[in-house]
Amino acid sequence: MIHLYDDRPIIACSTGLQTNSAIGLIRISGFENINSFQKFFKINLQKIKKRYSHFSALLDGETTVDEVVLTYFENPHSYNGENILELGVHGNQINIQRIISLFINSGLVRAAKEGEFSYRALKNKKLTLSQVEGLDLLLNASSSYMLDQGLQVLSGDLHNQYLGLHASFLKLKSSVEISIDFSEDVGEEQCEVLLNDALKEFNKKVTSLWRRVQSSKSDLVSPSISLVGQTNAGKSSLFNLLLSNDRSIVSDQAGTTRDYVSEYLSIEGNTFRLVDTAGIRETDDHIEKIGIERALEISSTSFYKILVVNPLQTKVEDYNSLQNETFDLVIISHLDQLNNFNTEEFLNKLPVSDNALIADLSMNTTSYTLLKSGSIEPVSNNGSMGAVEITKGGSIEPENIGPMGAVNNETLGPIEPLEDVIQSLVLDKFNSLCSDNPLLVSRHRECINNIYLSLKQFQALTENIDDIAIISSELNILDAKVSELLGIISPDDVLNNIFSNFCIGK
Amino acid sequence: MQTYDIAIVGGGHAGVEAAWIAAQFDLKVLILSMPGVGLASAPCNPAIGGVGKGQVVREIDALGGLMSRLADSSAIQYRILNESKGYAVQSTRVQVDKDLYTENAEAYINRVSNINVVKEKVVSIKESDGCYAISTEKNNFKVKKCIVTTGTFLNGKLHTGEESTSGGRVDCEMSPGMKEIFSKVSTLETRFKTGTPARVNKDSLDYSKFVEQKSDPKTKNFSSLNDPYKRFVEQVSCYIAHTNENTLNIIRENKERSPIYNGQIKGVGPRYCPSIEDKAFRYPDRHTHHVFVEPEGLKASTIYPNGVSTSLPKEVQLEFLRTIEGFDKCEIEIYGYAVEYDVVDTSKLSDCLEYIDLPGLYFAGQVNGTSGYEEAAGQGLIAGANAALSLLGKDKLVLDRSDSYIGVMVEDLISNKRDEPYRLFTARSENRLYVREDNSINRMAKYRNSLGLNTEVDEYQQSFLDEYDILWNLVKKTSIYATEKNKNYFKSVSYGELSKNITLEELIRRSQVDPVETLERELANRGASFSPEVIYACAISIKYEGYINRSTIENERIYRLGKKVINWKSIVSGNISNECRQRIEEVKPTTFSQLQRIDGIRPATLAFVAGNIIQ
Repeated sequence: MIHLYDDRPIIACSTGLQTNSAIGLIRISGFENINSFQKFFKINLQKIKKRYSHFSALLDGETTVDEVVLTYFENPHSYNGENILELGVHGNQINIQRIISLFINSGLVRAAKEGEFSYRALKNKKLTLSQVEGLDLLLNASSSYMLDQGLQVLSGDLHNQYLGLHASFLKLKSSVEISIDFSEDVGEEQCEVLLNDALKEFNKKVTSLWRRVQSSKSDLVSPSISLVGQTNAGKSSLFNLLLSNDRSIVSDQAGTTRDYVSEYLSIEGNTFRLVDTAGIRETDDHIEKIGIERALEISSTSFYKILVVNPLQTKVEDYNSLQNETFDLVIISHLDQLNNFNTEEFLNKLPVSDNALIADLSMNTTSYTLLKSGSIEPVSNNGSMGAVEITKGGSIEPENIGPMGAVNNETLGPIEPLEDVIQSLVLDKFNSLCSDNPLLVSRHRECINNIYLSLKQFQALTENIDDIAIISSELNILDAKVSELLGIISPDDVLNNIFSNFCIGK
Repeated sequence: MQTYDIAIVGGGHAGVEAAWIAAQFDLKVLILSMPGVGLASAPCNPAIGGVGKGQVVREIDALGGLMSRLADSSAIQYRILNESKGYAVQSTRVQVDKDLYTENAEAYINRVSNINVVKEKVVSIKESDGCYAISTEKNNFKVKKCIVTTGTFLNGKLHTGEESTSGGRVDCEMSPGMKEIFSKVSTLETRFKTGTPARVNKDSLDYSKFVEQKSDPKTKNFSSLNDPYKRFVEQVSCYIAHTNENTLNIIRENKERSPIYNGQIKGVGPRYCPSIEDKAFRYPDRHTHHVFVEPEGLKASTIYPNGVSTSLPKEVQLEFLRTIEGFDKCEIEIYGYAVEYDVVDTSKLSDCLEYIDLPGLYFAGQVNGTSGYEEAAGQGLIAGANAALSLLGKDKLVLDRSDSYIGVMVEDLISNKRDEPYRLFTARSENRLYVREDNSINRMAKYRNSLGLNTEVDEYQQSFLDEYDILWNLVKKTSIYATEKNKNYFKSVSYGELSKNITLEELIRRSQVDPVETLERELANRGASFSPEVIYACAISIKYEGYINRSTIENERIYRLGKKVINWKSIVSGNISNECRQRIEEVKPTTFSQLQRIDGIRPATLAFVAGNIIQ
């Protein structure tokens, strides 16, 4: 909480503490005089030039701890308006931690709290509230969409849209005031027309903003793709297949087959978390049961849900626990082993899905047939997918999914690899989510939801009450909510909220 | 050399009110007024009250002022405005017989032995030894406090078409001799402008072409000391007429002859009270406007065509008026004119309306840039009371903006440089549900009481409040049980369902019932006898209590931010618009709420500042 913050100088690593890298950047901010740090440096700090880089040995007493590049930004010409000393050090995590400890142990500085650098920037009027919010998005962006919106907020574009909403609210408020103070001059009928028109316009603006906050924020900020299915359905094969182009990403969580395994998957600059869940089956094993429950839970909160089914081993009853789920994609595996298989009949027994495909999913072959493609535009639009049979519009055309004889891999063999098709489907869903232009800043989402709810209450009230004084008083309550979106009214707790969203060391 | 405690320069609505209240403190009061003009005359439209203004007149009444009594005794038509829109925004307006109004004002003032009225032109006002020396053409006065209420007479200039003359009003000469004192007073750079329509002979109109508005017998008198429904003089009607395309075309054809549009007048007129020229040029899409035909008095030969104020040349005035249906054969007795005048920079005044750099000198009324008789009288009362209180070494009288329109007005005046004439609207109050006509005594009694005067007003208010408290508690404690009998009764009088026991208070709050009628009925059913005025105020207060509390809670968050201290110097150095920067540099706000209240501050600027305030 902000009120616990003090003005002492702070230190933090600005380049992240997760992985080793060539260079790590450490920032010290808010000190009175740079000379107080002289004992840590071999070069004479009094002689350094502001905002120029200087090379120096970093000393712990007599010992050289590291060789660093230091840059001094004197207030107010720094990121947050305070004196800032930036140290480019060798980016080994142990080295960075050791240097930070060295400064903290000297008693001259303390470790920065979350978001404290930006907090000080706001305090010193280097950034506005909106800009801080935009910065938060920029720094935490996991997709190019987030980056774009971060820039939009930072540059004030979104703010201008909110000003438009405010202007429309003022019009509504004016029409109420006209009705009270000037109805004689304007005429009763005209007053009513003005009020109704203004309310309609404002309602339209609020509703369109409200739509932009309806999509789940976690889907946008950290979308995940889940693979669900029975043991041996081919989930792990698919998991490996999808990651085959993206081996550089390190697993963040070691799972067991009884739990889940997840890795990050980058699709055209957007980061998704790919989760391979435990196989679903009837079991008495307590630990396995927990794993299965977990699998269902992960699936239900995922952005993109894939069900993998092995038709050779499937008893339809096994999917009872999933009957209420809607999947984005069903993959019927073991294409190569199927004979006289009625896909339509089989699909109808499975949980609902938007898309379906049948594939062999063996390690080296990737032949598949797309059975149906739902609300999303056919993949063939994106690439050369001519040979793949696609059905548009969600309804299943019998001729495309009719009984299949022995599948001939050579004639149905796709031009585009299976993993690319799946990635396109995921990306299409993500892009369509972004095409609604959803808002990502939590505070804005909350404000817009509040405005929407207040507006609905207000509309209900105006239907029952003729007393314009009461209507106007209730409108003032709405006023406060609109102003809050603009940041005109920002109670301390809101600000505290904002700043607790920040990562260390910005 | 005659000596007085307080001198009032100007005998208009502000001046009379200032003298009336100051005299109640047993001080020696002098009114200096123009020769040949009656006190409290009404040179503009002959009406007192209106939306927001009605509340002010009742506040003046509850503070022991005079305007309410003058209005009642001269009223020839009563009306409640916004009657269908809820009690909080209802306001009383009366048309007055303007000659009678002045006669009554003279009579009331003359009856007060410690007020002396001298109708002589003021030649000079000088400050000396903490006192003020005032000279007229014949006399010299020495006074301890001086209240200036000179209206539009400060460098006043009249315009009718191409003719322009010096003066503050069409029947008076310019007020001279104030130069010396005004050389020390800062006035606004922009001059203000206001205008009047032509006065039309009342027998030259065809009233069958108009819509009649009769006097409303249910409208209550302004003064709490009068029987609410007593009528002092005969009642007459007002009428509504309409301009049309022809009217507006004539005005548009004569654009270059209009002093407002040809550059002859440089002053700024009020947007809310536009001349017919403004209406014609600024709103080209509108093809008709209301014209209110208001009688100027029972014996007066003229009507006041409200809505067509103009400074066009005389022949154009007649031409366009005659295009209005019912005005075809109208004859003009006095032509319309616009007046331009200098205005005191009210940001240099204290909350007592005293000029901060010239102690003992007060300003009130139109000279402060306000428009309206009610606004003038309200300021007159504040200046008069404070001049007296200061002389007696007592605490000052400052009304809070949260409980009075007068408080709203004074704070608005002193915290801003005005850029157009100031009129009270209900929208200027943040607390409109509470600042009502019906509860003016409840709101004002503490202020009146603090003056330490003991008159019949004070006695009445005490008995009113005692009775109100009893009724308030009764309403909150009386239960209505959900018996079969009561359930049937509720249905028969359309009170809605009675599914469980409720209190009388809960019944009155129901949106489907009229609070006043319901409380009257329920009290009568129980044989309880209360004065109708107490019942009226109590019922409406209960009705709004929940909404007021709700908005108070919601507003708390805003106030929390409003109290934050800001540094205006650092704000103007930020990336804000030039216009906002200028405004902020003029006003130098020290808190966020002051910044919010500056006219013309953009939301973007507020957001910038708010985003940067963290203490």
